Formats: sequence, structure tokens, C-alpha cells
Amino acid sequence: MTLLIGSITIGLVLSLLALGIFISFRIFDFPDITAEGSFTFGAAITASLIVAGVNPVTATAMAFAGGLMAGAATGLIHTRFKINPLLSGILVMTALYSVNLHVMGKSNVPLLSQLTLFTWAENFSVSVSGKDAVTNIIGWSVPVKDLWILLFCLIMIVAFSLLLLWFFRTNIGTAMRATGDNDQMIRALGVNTNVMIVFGVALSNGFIALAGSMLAQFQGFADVQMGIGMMVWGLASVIIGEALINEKKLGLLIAGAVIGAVLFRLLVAIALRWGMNPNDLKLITAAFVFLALVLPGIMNKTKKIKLISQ
Amino acid sequence: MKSFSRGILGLFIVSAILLLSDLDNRNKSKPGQQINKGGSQAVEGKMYSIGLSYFAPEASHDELLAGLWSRLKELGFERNKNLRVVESHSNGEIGNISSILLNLDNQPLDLILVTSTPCVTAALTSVRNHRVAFTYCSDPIAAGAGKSYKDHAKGISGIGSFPPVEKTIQFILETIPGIKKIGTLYNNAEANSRSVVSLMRKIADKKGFELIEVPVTGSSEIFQATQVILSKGIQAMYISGDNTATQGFDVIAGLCERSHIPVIVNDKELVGKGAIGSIGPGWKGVGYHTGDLVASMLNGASPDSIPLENYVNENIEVNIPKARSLGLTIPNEFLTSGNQSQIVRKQRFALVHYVDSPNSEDCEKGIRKALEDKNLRDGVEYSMKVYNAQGDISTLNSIAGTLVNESWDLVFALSTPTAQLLSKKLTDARLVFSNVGDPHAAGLGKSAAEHLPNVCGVSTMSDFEGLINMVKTLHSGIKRVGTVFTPAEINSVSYREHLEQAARKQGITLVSVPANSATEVLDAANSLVSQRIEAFCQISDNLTGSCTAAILKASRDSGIPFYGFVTKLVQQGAIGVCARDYFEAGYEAGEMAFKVLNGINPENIAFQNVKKTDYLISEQSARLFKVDLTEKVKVAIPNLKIIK
Repeated sequence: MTLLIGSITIGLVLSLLALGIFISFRIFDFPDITAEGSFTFGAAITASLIVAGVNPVTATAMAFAGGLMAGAATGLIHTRFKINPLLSGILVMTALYSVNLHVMGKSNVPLLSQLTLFTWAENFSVSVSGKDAVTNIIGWSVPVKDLWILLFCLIMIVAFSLLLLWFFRTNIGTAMRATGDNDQMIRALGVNTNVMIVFGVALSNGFIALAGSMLAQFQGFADVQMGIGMMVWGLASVIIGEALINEKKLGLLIAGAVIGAVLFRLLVAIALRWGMNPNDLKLITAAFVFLALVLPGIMNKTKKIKLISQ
Repeated sequence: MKSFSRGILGLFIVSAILLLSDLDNRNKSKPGQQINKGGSQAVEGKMYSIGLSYFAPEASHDELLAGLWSRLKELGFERNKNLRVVESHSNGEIGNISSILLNLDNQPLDLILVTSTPCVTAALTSVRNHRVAFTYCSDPIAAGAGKSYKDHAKGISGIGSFPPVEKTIQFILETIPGIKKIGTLYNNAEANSRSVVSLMRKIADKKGFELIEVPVTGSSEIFQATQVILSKGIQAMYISGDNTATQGFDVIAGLCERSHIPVIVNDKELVGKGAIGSIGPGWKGVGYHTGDLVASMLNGASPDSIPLENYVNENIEVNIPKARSLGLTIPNEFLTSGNQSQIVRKQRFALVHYVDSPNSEDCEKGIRKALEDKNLRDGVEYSMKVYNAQGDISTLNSIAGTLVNESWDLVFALSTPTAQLLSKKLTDARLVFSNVGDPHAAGLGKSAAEHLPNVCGVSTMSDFEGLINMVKTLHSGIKRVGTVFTPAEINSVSYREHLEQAARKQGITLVSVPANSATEVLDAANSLVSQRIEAFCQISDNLTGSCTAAILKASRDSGIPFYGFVTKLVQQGAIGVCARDYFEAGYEAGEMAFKVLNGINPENIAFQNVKKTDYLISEQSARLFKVDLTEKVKVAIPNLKIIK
């Protein structure tokens, strides 16, 4: 049960990443690979600020701001200099690698004894239910602390998702969505699509940096290599969520991205729990993701066949 | 909404699969199933109160209470809800017990529960107003609770757990064949110890060995008493459930360890603290069993009508690594788990790599070799579960989540991020790291001795001054050396700084060029060549460790000699290495792990750097690069080995 709760918590933290990727890939149709840089950027900013004694909330907010800047840079390179979106992402991601090393001053910043958002959640748990409190959930004993952290992440993700949903329903948000769907139409309506793209990619990377910031606080350190592979995982989460939800409503798409991220972490946890050869881990994860993508489709098909045969 | 619920359903299904595969971690069916479940349930809405008095806090007593509270909860008595517990202990002093009991006796309580023999004895005289239940007592008859189990003192009833002395002695005799002298140490004032020791004497006569017994009157005398016993030439130490000896067990185990004398106990908690084996009551089961008695007395049953009971729920636990380190083999009959209450502990280890790299793999090999040399075999005495995050930080987090979920005897962390993450998440497990360049920079501790309580390990800082010294000796007047480093690896950056310092001391400039991926290493090496370095002094990190071939190629093509920090480079074209091997680092971590298994708290083990350094020079490469290996060189570098 601790395994389940731990995996869901990591999944929720990383669903911020999925939301970010969802914005750039799905809303804007902009293949943005700044993610791997901005993820670490968020972690680096938060870690350095926390070590310097800054309040964790400010440090997290600064990470979001940093992500916005990184994304804006990618957007500007693409719109101003007409550079291919993939390449502009590569440029910023590569540059961020050095920036991250500068921000941290070294390649790895430990936060083991620092005050983070998660220490607050832990302290809250201690004040409510005592230190080392354990509860029992259908036979598994679970530290209460973990439940509070899970709840904290859940509240945070729900809040961010609702915020995003609200934002994309405002005028500017709708214009942004339209930019991704049909840019000629929206240009005809007098909207500057370039501004929309810059803003959208910035927002996307803000969320990704936020994910990096939260993960660094959750795991207790920031490492310059922590962004590697993140974009692929985020994208996989978004697509799993889509395959599962299979509908075009905005709210459901956002929920799908979050569900996909959590589901993805659960699949990895199952692969780990079954205890296979460590070298096969990624192979098995890939196989799971494949199944998660294919199964809903097969289920739909069998449903249709049934309907026809009736 | 339909599709949303499908998403949620998907989550539920996958969670269910995860939980199903995690079923064996669910709290197992409660111990002591053979208990007749006739205990009486709590009456709704009624408040109950118990006065609990015990001798001193001890691990096995905690276990007993855990069993007791869990049974009471099952019967509807929940602490801080409908059950009030007034708890006090005498801090291990017999003199305090009476006054504590008198205090309890004058409070409005439903029942007084006493645990441990001294408290039982005291309760017989001190408690007047309340009914008394007892448990955690070896021999209630010796404690004075009655003439026999049926004919016992009024107002008191309870559970005795006489230690399986005969079986324990059989265990000692079979584990140490031909043993002549067994020592024991106990407090003469404890009635249970007196009866255990008198039984020991009888068995000694029958089996033909000598029992060396030394009584003590308090825990302060234990050190001296143990020394006395050891000086009498005992071959094994048997500590039964004596409260005083249990409190001073660390002292006894430490002294015996120094004299290579095995310690055998009746209390399994002590197996982790230096005893080789324990045959004793499973206290959790005993506590659970006591729950029924306490419940029925809370509901008004008179203790006079409840006969005393002996309940042991025998539990065998052995520390095989510890036994092997003393050259002992535990006989199979104590290892086969034919009887369900016998538990044999195979040590469970986990080992976590961050990324596939030669350094990390060498470390693992070293750890395995060290364990093998200590006679621990994979699959027999221990099982090692290997995880590899394959360079992905989110996978590393998932691995930590998986590890937290289970209990491990020991966890090995083979990289800086791994050690950082695991030390944060696995605060209950004992952690041994290796392949960590600078544990202080990683936040694992302030100094070698002052560090996180559950973590110890071996750092792999190379011998920079040794290598610079070697280079300086072989190439007099050298001014510029170069290295490729990896900015992304904290070890690499720290090594580069240390190498630079060591070089500067000798008046040498270090030119360093960063590489961030495998493809960049060759370019970086060529860039060093173009900066007119006179020798490569390649530091060792994960990236360049995988790609040293590229740097060696640059060295061969340009005719600039290569020096490094890893043994096998000597065979691959380096002139000389100053090797503190990752294999060696793993080996030392394995030895450290062995100490931890033997009951030494990681808190008390200082971080250490790899001790052994090999200075190796390849004669062939030296000739190729026209470096003279004169006698002078051999004198200037101590312990130099020249490889033909």
C-alpha cells in the first residue's frame, strides 16, 4: 500500500510535467523539447534558493517563473527567427544545461536537511496525528505522513488543473486553443498567433519547471541530469491519458493527462514490484505502455462488434 | 462523464494489480492462530481502564505490547478511545516498583497489568484494591504467584513464558561441537533467572558440560562480570531472559565479540545486536495471547477462577553471517522451517545502481566478493535484489518507493543521487553506499564521523597527489597536464578540483575540458592535445569511465602519455595508474556491510575513503612513449608494481 501511495504521489508530481507537455503538444501542436532543460531548470532554481534560505513557496514560484522564461525563449526563437519548433527547443534545452550548472554552481545540490514544501506537509502531519503515526488501510499499515503528502499533492494538482481549465476558457485562453486548432482562422479574426505561441510555450514550460521543482523537493536533491528522458515520459503520460479518456472536451483532456501520468507511474511500479531483471526494466515499461495504449481501443472494438451482432 | 469514469476505472484496475502483487506485504494473519478466540468483546459505550506497570522499556517488551494492543483492538478495546491506559515503568530499578504499584493501586482502574517478573513479585504484596493480570514472566511459580498453575495466589492470574532452556542448550551443543564450558550471567534478585539457571545446572549435569555462572546485582556490574566469565575460558555465552543482563546486552555482546565467543539468547531482538541465535518466546504472540486474558478480566472475570498458563510460541532466529564469522555452522535442524513457528532469517539485501557504468558494476562485483569472502553466499545466507534506474531520475524515485515498501536488512546505494534519495526515503533501513566521490558535498554527513544515523559507506575519492607525484617523477619538469571531465557528475567536478589542487602544489597547470555525452569525449581529448598538454591525467567518472578508449586513442595518436586512476587502464595503453579501484571500493563497502550485519549501528561507523592504493606502471607502454624506468623512479614511488 505504501508502494501504491508512493507511486501515486510521484505520479501526481509528474502530472504537472504531463500538463505542461499537454499544453505545448496538444493545445498548440508545438513539438517542444525544451522540457528536458526547463524541468531541471525548475529544480535547480528551487534547490539553490532553498539552500540560500528562501521560503519554499517563493522558491517554487520562482521555478515557475524560470520555466516561463525558458519557454518564452523557445517561443521567441521560433516566431521571431522562423526557426523550426523542434530546433528552437533543442537550442534552448542545450543552453539550459549550462545555465543549470551555473544556477546550482555544481551538478548536484542536496536538500536533505532543508525546509521544503514537503517538510511542511510532514510537519503538518506530525502536528495532526503525531510522529510516526501509522494507520491501517484494508490490512496494509501506512504511515499517516505519506497520506498527508499524497493529499497535499492531490489538492495542488486539482487546483492547478482547475486553474488551467478556467484559463483556457477565458478569451485569451480560447484564442490560444484556436491558434493550435486553426491558426489561419484565428489570424483572420485579428489575433496575433505569434504572441499566442510564445505565451503558450512559456506557460507549458512554467508547468514543467514547476514539476521539476516539486520533484527536487520531494526527492531531496536536484541533479543536473534529472531532466533526461522526462519529455518522453511526459508525452507517454499524455497519450496514455488520451487513449483512456478518448474524448475532446477540454476538462476531460486535462484530467486525462493527470490520470495518464499517475497510471504511467503505477505501471513502472508494477514492473519494479514484479522484480524482473533490472536490465529489462525499460523494455517492460515500454510493453506496459503499449498495452495501456492498445487495450482501450480493443475494448471499444469489441463493444462495436457486440452492437453490430445485436 | 462516461469516459472520465473509464479513466478512473483504469486507475483502479492498475492500482488493484499493484496491490495484488503487493499482497505479501499486507500485515500477515495475526500471530498465534492456535489461540482459542473465546476472549470477551468490549461492551459498547463503556469506558475501560488499565494500569500498566513494567520494568524498563525494551524492544521485546514493545513487541509484547504491540501484540497485546492489537488483540485488544480486535476485541473492541481501543487505546485512547474506550480504553484508558495508565502506564509507568521503574526505569530498571527493582526498588521503584512497589511505589509505582501503590500509586496505581490507589487510582480508579478496572485492572492492573504487570509485566516482567520483578513487577509480578511486587504486585503480589503491593496491590490490594485491584485485580492483577501479568505476562512477560518466565516462571510465575518462582515469582511467587502460586504453588502450581492451578493453585495460585488470589486476585492475580497471568501468562508465564518459561524460556525453552533445554532446546537452547541443545542448539549450543550442536552448533559448537565438543563444547565444554558455557557461561551465563544473571541477576540473582530476579526470580525467573534463578529458576532458569537452576534448570541449566540440571541440564549441564545430564549433558556433561560445565556451567560457569556469575550473578550480578545491577547493570553497572555487567562489564566486570562479563570479563570474569570470559577469563574462565567459556566457549559460548548463554543469556536467558534476565532483565538486568538484557539491559546491559550491548556490553556483553561487545566483550564477547572481542574474544570471539558466540552469544546465544532467548530473546530474538538481541540477534540483531550481536547474538548468533535466539530460541525463545515470540513476544508478539505472547502479547496477543495475553490480550484474551486481559479482555475477559476487563469484563469482570475473576482471576481466581483462571489458572495460570505457560505460553511460549517458540521462535528460532539465527544470525548466519555472525555465526559464520565465528567459524560456526548452524545445524540444519534449526534452519529447516518444518515447524511454522521457526523462522530462519535469510538476509535480504537490495542494491541500487543509478546508471549502467563500469564503475558502478565493478562496485557491485566488489561487494559480492567481500560477502563471499565472509562466507555469505548469494541465495543461501542472503538474497540480493538489484535495481537499476538506467539513468532516469523518475525511475530512481519509483525504485525508492518500491524499496520503502519492503523491509531490508541492508541497502547498497551505488552512486551519489542514489545515496541521496535513499537516505531521504529509507530512514528505517540501514544504508551502505559506495561509488560516491564526496559524501559530505552530497549532504550525507557533516564529517566522516558525524553523519546520518542509518547511513555509512565508502567514498571513492582518488589519490590525486599520488598520481601527480608519479607523473612528476617520470617526466621531470612537466608543466601542463590535462583531463576530460563531466560537469554533470558531481563526483567528476569535485575530482577535477582536487586534481587541480594537487597539481598546483607541484607547480603543474591542469587543463580541463568538459564533455557532456559519449560522443563528445573524443573531441574533448583532441582539444586537450591541441592545448599542448604534456600528459593526460584522466580523472575517473561514469562518462569518461565508459569512454576511456577514446581518450587512449587520442593519447596514442598524439604520442602524449596517459595516466589514470583505474587499474585496468594499464592493460589498455596507460603508462601508469594510481588506482583506488571501484572494485576495491565495493569490497570495502561489503566489509562495512558485514559489520552492520553483525549489529554495529551505522551511526557509529565513520565514512571512509577507499584504503588500498595500487601504483602500477606498464613497462610496454613506458617503452612505447620512451619513458625511462630507472631505479630512481622505483625508489621515488613507494609500492610501485611494474607490469611487463
